[in-house]
Amino acid sequence: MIHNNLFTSNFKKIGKRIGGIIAVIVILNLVISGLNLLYVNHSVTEWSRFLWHNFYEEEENIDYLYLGSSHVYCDLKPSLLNEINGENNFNLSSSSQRLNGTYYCLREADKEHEIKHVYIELYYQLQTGENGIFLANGARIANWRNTDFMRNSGNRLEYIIATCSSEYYVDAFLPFVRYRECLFDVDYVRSQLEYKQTEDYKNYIFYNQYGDASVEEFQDGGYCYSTTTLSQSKLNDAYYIQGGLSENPLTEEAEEWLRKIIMYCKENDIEVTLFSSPMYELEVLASGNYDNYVDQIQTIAAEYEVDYYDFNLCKEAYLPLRGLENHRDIHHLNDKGATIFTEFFWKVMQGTKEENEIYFYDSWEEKLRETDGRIYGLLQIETDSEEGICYEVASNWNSGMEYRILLTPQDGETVMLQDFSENRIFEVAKDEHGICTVVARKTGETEQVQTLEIEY
Amino acid sequence: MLFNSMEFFIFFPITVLIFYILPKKVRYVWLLIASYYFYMQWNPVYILLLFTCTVVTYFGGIFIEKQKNKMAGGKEEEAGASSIKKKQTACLVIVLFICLGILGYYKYADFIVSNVNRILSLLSIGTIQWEHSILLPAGISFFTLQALGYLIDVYRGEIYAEKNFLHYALFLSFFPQLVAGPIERSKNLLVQLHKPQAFSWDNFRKGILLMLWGLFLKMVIADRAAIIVNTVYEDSTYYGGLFIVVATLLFAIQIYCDFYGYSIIAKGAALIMGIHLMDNFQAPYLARNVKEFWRRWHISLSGWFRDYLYIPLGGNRKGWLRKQLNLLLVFGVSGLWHGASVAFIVWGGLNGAYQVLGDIYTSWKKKLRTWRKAQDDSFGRVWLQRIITFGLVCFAWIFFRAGDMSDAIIIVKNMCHFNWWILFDGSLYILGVSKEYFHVLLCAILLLFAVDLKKYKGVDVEEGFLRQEWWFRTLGYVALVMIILVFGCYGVEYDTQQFIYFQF
Repeated sequence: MIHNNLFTSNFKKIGKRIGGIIAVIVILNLVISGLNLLYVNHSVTEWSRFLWHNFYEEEENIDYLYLGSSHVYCDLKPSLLNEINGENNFNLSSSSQRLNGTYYCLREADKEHEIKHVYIELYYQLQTGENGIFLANGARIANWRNTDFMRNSGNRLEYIIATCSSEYYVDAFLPFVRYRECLFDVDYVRSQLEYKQTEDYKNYIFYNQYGDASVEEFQDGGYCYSTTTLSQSKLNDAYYIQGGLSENPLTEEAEEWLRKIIMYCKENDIEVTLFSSPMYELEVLASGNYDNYVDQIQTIAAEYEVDYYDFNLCKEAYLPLRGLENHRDIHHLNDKGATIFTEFFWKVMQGTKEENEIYFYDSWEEKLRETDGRIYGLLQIETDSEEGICYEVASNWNSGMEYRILLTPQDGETVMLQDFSENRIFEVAKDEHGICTVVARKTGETEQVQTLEIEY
Repeated sequence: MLFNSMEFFIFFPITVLIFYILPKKVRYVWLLIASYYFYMQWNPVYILLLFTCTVVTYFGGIFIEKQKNKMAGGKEEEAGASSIKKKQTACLVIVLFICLGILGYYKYADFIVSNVNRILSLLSIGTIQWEHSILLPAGISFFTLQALGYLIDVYRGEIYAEKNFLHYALFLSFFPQLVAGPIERSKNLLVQLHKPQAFSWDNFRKGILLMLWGLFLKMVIADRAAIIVNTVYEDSTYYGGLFIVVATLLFAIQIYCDFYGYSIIAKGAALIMGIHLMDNFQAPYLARNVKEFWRRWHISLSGWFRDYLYIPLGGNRKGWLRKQLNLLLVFGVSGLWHGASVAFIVWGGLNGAYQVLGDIYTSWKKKLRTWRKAQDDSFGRVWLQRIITFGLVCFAWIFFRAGDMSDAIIIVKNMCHFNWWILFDGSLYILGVSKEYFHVLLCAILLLFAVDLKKYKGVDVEEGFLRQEWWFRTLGYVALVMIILVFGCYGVEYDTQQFIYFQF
């Protein structure tokens, strides 16, 4: 065998060899692109595809950037903010975006634009408990929603490496690999090809109409325009945290990345504000002890002299979002709610911390205490029971309210579980579904305060 | 760090790049650092075992050689020479004792204590309290044998003792072959470590090809076959008869592709750095008898046992009966080397017994052949011999895979109830691998079979591929990469399987 030294071989030979390596890379790239086209299911990540396309197509400088989970793209209207503050506002938020993802999205935006101010949304469910473990399955997939559509760069590479463990690198870099179970599924491949041939797909149009009136649409600036209205029957939340949030509920990872984000902004002269979007109260009640979360974020924010506003603590008089007509579901606002919230959001952002104090309660506990007795829906409680699902009537008062609970199973007769008692917990069979009617009144009074009919 | 892990795909290019950037004189130091880092990825503390083995055998070698030099200087009287020889032998015995003692403690302590306790409890005497849970250090069986092979060679005067400690440390820890061989001889590897090569394009592309082929064997064949094998063997009372036969055949393929895959990746990785490792496999399943199988399977281990155990025991020089006893002993020890379990000893013993019976049959066959005047290499005869050999080897693999004697006996018993329909009614597709992937597996095995057939005939398949037109080679590389990416077992769906031989 002749041993040729790469560095001493003649130019022609070296050129041929480099050409060979390039040919391998080019062909590999073509084959991989083909497989991505055939197998990657973009219908489940279409929001991110449109978002990143919109982001890279943005010609104007983005002045104000909003990052976080779906709460951001549902609750804040960039077009309205543009009108109010006269600057260019953009939501670079994605579904279940964790703080590690937020960090890299911020860097990506900072690379392309001169960001003046960044607003970081902090949805408690994504930063605490199992969801706050950023190398877990859910967080990894949430990050792939961004990395799949980001342009190749050092930032993207770092994003992938930092947010998934090495055994998933291939899946992260080559999305088709995740769909290998469909390798021989001709129908699947056909459906993907058909979907990718549609004009909506090619032109990055996201428009869904449900029934007669309900519409969801991707709008410029990363806004999800939605006319869907939360129905009373859907006031059933399965995300109840057993035992409530702990004293410092942020996971170590979440705290670390939050600090990293703040430090990045400080080092790059970007103003930063932290906030939590307003949710339907049922969602906040599911936390068990929301104040622990608020306190911890406030402590971290104070450490860096950064403002944190939790709009769940807002007084109703200033932010009238209580009605179901303002909500898309228990997590998000619809366009009507978003319009109200966006205007108020900007008003708060213009004021100082002291000036804004008037709009907020000091704590979630105080808000519950100060509000009249109400019921918000049903919370599913974890139990050891294998046959039944345990529910708790979600109310702002722990005592002083009594409830009548009636169950109407599908194809069955209405059964009364209790007739005005302070007990709020009841169990139904796992395979039983129907309507649960909860009637609430103040203890000792005869006048009924509220009635809800909820699917179970 | 597994060869099929992302860590290795990052570690290896960086190591190679720095290796070639550094001046030739210091490259071995870099390789030593990289090798120790590679080993420490499993369990950093166990690097001390490798280091101890290195220090003990290094100084053992130096001491033996010094004594040899004294003798060669002619300064000693005959009585003195005998005393020097005794010192050399004593040194060899002490080093053997230390190295085998470490190996014995980490590998066999549990096995020995549990068997002693079994005997003691049968005799109604109190048992030994043993609550240590010992984690087997990766590759300990491999580097111990490599170190002992070196020391024995020095003792026999076949090589000079290595003076440079770092060179010697690298010889024992060279990362491509550190944890699962091939068990290299100092005559081959140590010499090459002294003479670093310039970057060679030919070595590079052949090395890449070998690594890709090894990954194909491991990820596309071995790990896919493992799914079926594990399903059947973990519930062998449920899956009887033909399921066990199919699983055993697939295990034979799995262990071959797993170990051959590792060896070929090791060979490719070393070649990229200009180091030629020995071939560890030569189409073993095409062997026509068990003796030939062992000349083609795990060649470095078979060679080690031949040179350092079989021949010192007398080999075939002390009569027919002694030869057969030696064979049985060597294969028994080989079984024990693979694992601390009676099942492994039975596996080794079976392979030894096959060879004893083979020897008897050969002498009888010679007479028969003269009488029948049959051709020794007719097509039908060759393939019949291959099928019988493969069947015998597969039967022995049952004990190897079961790992436990009682399980192995149950499996052999359950194997006897045949239901041929499972081959046709889709039952094979419910063992964890879908119909389509099962067919992919069969195609991959056919490809391996074709390559092995060429190899058996002495064709250098890799060289043949590299001699092809550039466009053919380009497509070949791309095809291998894509086949691994598409059909390999890794990532979200699968746990990365460890190489089987890491546990030895």
